[in-house]
Order: sequence, then C-alpha cells, then structure tokens
Amino acid sequence: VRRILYHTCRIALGLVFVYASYHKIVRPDRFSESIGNYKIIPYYLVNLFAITLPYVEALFGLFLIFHWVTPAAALGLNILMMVFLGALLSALLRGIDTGCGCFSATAEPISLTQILRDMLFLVMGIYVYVAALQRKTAED
Amino acid sequence: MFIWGVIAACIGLCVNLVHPYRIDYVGSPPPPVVVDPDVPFPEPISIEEGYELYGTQDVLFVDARRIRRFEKGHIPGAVVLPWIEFDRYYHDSILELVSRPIIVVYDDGPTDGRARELGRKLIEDGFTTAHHLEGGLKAWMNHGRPIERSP
Repeated sequence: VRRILYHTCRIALGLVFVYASYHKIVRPDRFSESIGNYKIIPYYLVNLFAITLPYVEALFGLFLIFHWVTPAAALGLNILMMVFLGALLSALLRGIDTGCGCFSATAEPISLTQILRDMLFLVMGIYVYVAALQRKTAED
Repeated sequence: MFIWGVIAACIGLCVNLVHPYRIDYVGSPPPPVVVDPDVPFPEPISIEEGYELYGTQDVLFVDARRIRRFEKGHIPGAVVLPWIEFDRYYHDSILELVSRPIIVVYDDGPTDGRARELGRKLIEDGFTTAHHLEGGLKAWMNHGRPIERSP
C-alpha cells in the first residue's frame, strides 16, 4: 500500500507541476504580468522570474514522473511550493485583487481554496521527499 | 538540486530568445502616470505648519519616494506611495488615504517635484485636501524634526 501511495503521489505531483508550467512556458508575457501583480519582487526582476521559473517547475516535474533524482526534484518542488504559498498568502492578506497565475495567467482569483490546494500539494511533496530518501537509504 | 534548477533556468533563458511571445530579460518600469493638466498642484505647507499637523490625528504624511529611500528614513507614521510606481502601490495605500482628512505629501526636497506631482494626482482622485511639504524631508530634518527607519 505504501509503495502504491508513494508512486501515486510522485506521479500526480509531477503531472501537476508539468501541467502548471505548460501555460507559463507558452505565454511568458502573461505569466510575467501575473507575477508583477503580486507586487512582491521589483519590476526589473519580474521578467527574469517569468522566463526561468516555469522551466524549473517542468524539469523537476518530469524528474518526479520518470523517477529520476526524485529526492532532489521533490525538495526543489517543495521549496517552490512554499514560495508560491507565501506569495498567495501575502496577496490575500494585502487584499490584492489579481489572478492566481497558478495554472493559467487569467483565471482563478486568489482565494483560500488555492491556498488549501497548494498546502495539499506541499504535504504530498514532503511525503514524496521523505519516502524517496528512505527508499534511497534502504537501497544503499 | 541547485544544479538542475540552474540548468532549467538556463534552458528558459535560451528558449526565450526564439520564443514567439518573447519578453525582455529585464522588466521595464510601469508606464508614467497621466494627470489631467487642468488639475492644480497641491498647496505648499511649511515645515512649522507640517509639524503642528504632525501631532494631530487629522493628517497622513505620504512619502512619494521609492520604497528603499523610505525604509532608510521617513516621517514617523508616514505611508509610502512611490510616485514612479503609483499604479502599483496606490491600491495598498487607499485605506490609509481615506482615513485622514488632511494629506501631506513629501519627497527628498528641495524642489518637491515628485511630491507635487503625486499631490496633484491625489487631488485629481478626489483627495482635495492634499498639500505638499515645502523643502521635503531634508528641510524637515534640518529643522530637527523626528524621522524613523523601517525595521
């Protein structure tokens, strides 16, 4: 059962991140606008984040799906997820009325639902990371 | 993990060169704010008048400089609304702006260019009691008035 749970979480999380990165890779201009709306990072860094972040998401997502360097990929995605969660919370607390930008640039205004959803992904990510480490130790 | 992150970021940087929706690597500043030229500039108030108001609950000091400058030192209790990024920060300041009957805008001084422009924009938006502090923060400090730093 644990094995099935581990592989299900790993593949599901990988698919979620690859899917999330797709719209951002296709339309970096829209993603850049989304990041800018959060008003967290200075304007001169917004585009750099919009250009690079989706590829990091996609690569780590693919690593999870194909079960390659899984602990590192899970750790990377967990860090990303914590950053996203922090940004969402901060925008919600400041009452910023903007789209989440999580899966597409325009839809989904920021709400508690997204925060809960991201927290679920984070829990899954932490589980995958811990389980992957344990498996690696056992193999060694 | 970091190496893979860097590799992914490099791929992104390269792909952007040939991307049909390619964007500049460095973001450009937000467009300048347009103010109706018929709107008057805010009335100036002297440092003494400003300091008298400072002790009351009726006034809100608004710092028109950039965030970094604001954090280095500002009039205690002031809010920051950088003129150069007005559209970006206006929404964050609106609750504080409507909470006080008098608004006093300042910048570094001595010409008060940004403060005067910001004051004019605020007047256009209905904050008709906006004033600008003559001589800005430099004059305020030269008169020995208090300032505070952001933590």
